[in-house]
Amino acid sequence: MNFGLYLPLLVGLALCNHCRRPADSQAAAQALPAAIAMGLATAIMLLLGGGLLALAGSLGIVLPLALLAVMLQTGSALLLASALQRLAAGPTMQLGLHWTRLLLNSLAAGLPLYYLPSASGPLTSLFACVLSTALFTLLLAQFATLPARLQRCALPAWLHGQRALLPCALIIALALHSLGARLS
Amino acid sequence: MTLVLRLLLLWLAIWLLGKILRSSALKLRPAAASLPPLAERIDALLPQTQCGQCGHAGCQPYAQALARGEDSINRCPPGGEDGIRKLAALLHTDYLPFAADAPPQKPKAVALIDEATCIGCTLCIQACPVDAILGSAKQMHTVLADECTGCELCLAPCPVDCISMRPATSLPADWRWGYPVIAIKAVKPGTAA
Repeated sequence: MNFGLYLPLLVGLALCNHCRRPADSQAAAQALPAAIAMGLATAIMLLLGGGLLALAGSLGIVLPLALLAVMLQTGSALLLASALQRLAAGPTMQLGLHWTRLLLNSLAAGLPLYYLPSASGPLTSLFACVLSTALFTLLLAQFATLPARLQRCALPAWLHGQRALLPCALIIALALHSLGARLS
Repeated sequence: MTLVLRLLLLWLAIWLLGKILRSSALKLRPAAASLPPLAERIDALLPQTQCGQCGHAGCQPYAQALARGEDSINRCPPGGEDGIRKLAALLHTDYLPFAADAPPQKPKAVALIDEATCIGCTLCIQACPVDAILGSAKQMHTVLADECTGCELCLAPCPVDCISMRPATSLPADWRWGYPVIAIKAVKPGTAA
C-alpha cells in the first residue's frame, strides 16, 4: 500500500459516506457539520488505534500486525460509538455518526495506515494519520457542499442529482492518485 | 514525545467533536420547543369562517379533531383545494379531493341586511359565530363587512328573510358599477291624462 492508492481510497470512502446520508431537507442543512463531525470521529479512531498499538508494543504483546490492526481499529470504533451513544445520542443520530459508518471508516481509513512504508516511524505515522484525517474531513465537506453547487451548474439532464458526484469523485481521485504517487 | 503529541491531538479532536455535538444539540432544541402545538398550526391554515360545514362547531374544534386524527382533511369547503393541499403537507398525508357529501365550494360572499325589512329580532346576531352583526332588539341590524366570513349561518334564523349574500368585492378589479334601477309603474289606460 502506498499513498497513490490510499488517497483515492479516501475519496471513495468519502463518497460512500455521503451517499449513505438521508436525502431530506434536515439532513441537507446539517451536511457540513456532519461531515466535520465524521472527520473528527475518524481522527479520534485513528489516533486511538495508533496509540493503543504503541501501548501494545511497549507491553510486549506479540500478534500478527494484520490481526492487531483489525482488533485495535474495531475496538476504537466501537468504543467511540458507545461513548457517543451514551453521552449525546440525539446529536449523534442527527449527524449520522452511526456505529456501522464509524466502523467502516475506522477500518477502511485506518488499516492501510499500518502498511504505508513511508510512515514507518512513530512521528511520521502520527503525521500521516493527522494529514489523512484532515484530507478525509476536507473530502467529506467537499461532497457535502457539492450537490448545492452542482445545482447552479448547467449540467446535462443525465448528470443531475447524485450521478454528478461520480465524475467529480473520479476527477478528485485521479488528482489525489498523482499527488500520492509523488509522495510515495 | 510522540505519545504526548498523540494525546494532545486526541484531546483536541475530542474537544472539537464535543463542540460540534453541543451546537447541534442546541440547534435541535429550540426548533422543537418553538413550534406551537399541532392543533394550533392546523388552525392557522383554516379559513376561520367558523361556518360549521365540516361538521364541527368551528375551525378550532375541526383543527383539534384533525390533530387527533379523528377527521379527514377534505371537509372544509371555504378553505378550497389549496387548503386541503396545505393541510396534507402539514400532516404528511396524501391529498384528498372533497368528500362526496361535502357542501359545494362558493366564492367568498358577505351578508347584507335589507334595512327596510329588518324587524330587529336579534336572531342573526345570536347565530353569527364571529360577531359581525351589530344591532339591538327592535332596532335595525347591520353587518360589518370586514368581519363577515360569509358562513351563511345568519340566513336560516331570520324570520323575515331580510338577509342576502352578496359577492365580496374587495378588489378594484372585482368592482363594477351597479345597473341603474328604474321603477316601473303600471299605468291604467283610463288614468293617463
